[in-house]
Amino acid sequence: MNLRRQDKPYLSATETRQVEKAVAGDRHAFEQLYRSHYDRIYALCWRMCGGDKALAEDMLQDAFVRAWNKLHLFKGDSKFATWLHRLTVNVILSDKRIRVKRLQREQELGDSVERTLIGERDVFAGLRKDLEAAIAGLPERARTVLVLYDIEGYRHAEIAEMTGMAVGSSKAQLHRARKLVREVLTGE
Amino acid sequence: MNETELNKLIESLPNRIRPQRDLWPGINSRLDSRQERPGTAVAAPAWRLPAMAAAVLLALTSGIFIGRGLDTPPAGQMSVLESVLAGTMENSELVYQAAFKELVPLDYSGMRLAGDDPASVRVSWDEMQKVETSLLTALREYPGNTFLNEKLMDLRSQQLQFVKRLVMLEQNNWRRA
Repeated sequence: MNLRRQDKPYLSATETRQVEKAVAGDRHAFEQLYRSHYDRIYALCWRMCGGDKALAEDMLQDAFVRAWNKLHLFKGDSKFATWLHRLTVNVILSDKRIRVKRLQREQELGDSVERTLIGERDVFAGLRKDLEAAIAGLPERARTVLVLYDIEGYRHAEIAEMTGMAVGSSKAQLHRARKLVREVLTGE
Repeated sequence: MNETELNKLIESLPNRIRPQRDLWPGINSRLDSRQERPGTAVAAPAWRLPAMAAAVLLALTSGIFIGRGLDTPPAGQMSVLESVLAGTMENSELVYQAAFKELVPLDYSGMRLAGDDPASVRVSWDEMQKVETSLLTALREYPGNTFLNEKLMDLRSQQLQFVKRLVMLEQNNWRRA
C-alpha cells in the first residue's frame, strides 16, 4: 500500500503493547487503539459511503468489531493502521447497503465537512467542501476508486484486488471520476 | 480546473474526520457480548453437542446391552464372548455416565437456542435424568425385569433424539448468526 497519506511509518511500542493486550482480550487497550484511529477510519467510511453519516457510523462500528474478532490474525507484519484500514475497506465493500443507497441518496454534507480537523480559514476551504460534495455525488464504483486511489493512497492493483474489478477498469473508473469531479467543480 | 489543480485540491482534503457522536460505546457493547478471547467464544458447544450425541448413541447401545446384561447367567457359566460383551457394556455405560455428567452442568442459556426456551430445555433434560435415575435404581433391585429394561431402552432413545434436536437447533442458530 502506498504510504503517502498513512499515519506513522512504524508501529510504536505503545501501540504494539495495546495490540498485544487487545489480542489477549483487554477491551481498554482496544479502546485506546480505537481512540488513535477512529477519525481516520471515519473519514474513510464517510467518503466511501458518499457522505452518509449514519451509514458511515455503522461501517466504522462494524469495522472495529471485526477488527476485535480478527485481531489475533494481525501478526505485526504491517502497521496496525494499514491492517485496520484494509479491513475497513473490505467491510465497506462487502456491505450491500451502500449499493442500495446510491439509488436513493440525497446528501447533507455541510455539517460533517465543517467538522474536519483542518482549519476553515485557508484558501481551499470552500473548494474542499465543493469537492467533498462532488465526490459524494459520484457513481459508486467511480467514487470507490477515487477515494481509495487519490485520497487513501492505494494502488490500482490493490484496488482491483479489493473490489474484484480489473486493473484497467480501476484506471478507467478513476479517469471517469476525476472528469466528473472537475465538471462539477467548474460548473460544466 | 486542470489535473494539477485537482490533485492539489484532493491532497488538501483532511484525512481525519470526527463523527458527530462517540461511537465507542456501541462498539464496546458488541464486544461485551463475548465471554472469552476473540475466536474462541463459542467453539466449545459446537463440538461438545455432537460429542454428546455420539455419547448418547453409545449409551443407547450400552443400554440395550445392560438390559440383557442384567439377565446374564453367573460369571462361571459365561462364554468368553459374553464376558467381553459384558465388559464392553460396562465401559459404554461408564462413558455415557461421564458424558451425561458433563452435559448436565452445561449452561443452556448461553447456547442461543432459537425457538426453544432454554429453561424448558433444561427442565426436559432434568426430567429425563430423574427418570433414568429411577430406572437404574429399580434395575439394580430387579435386574431381570423386562418392563424396566424396555423402559430404559425407550429412555435412551428419547435422550438420543433430544440431543440430536439440540444439535440441530444449535447448527441452525449458527447458520442464522
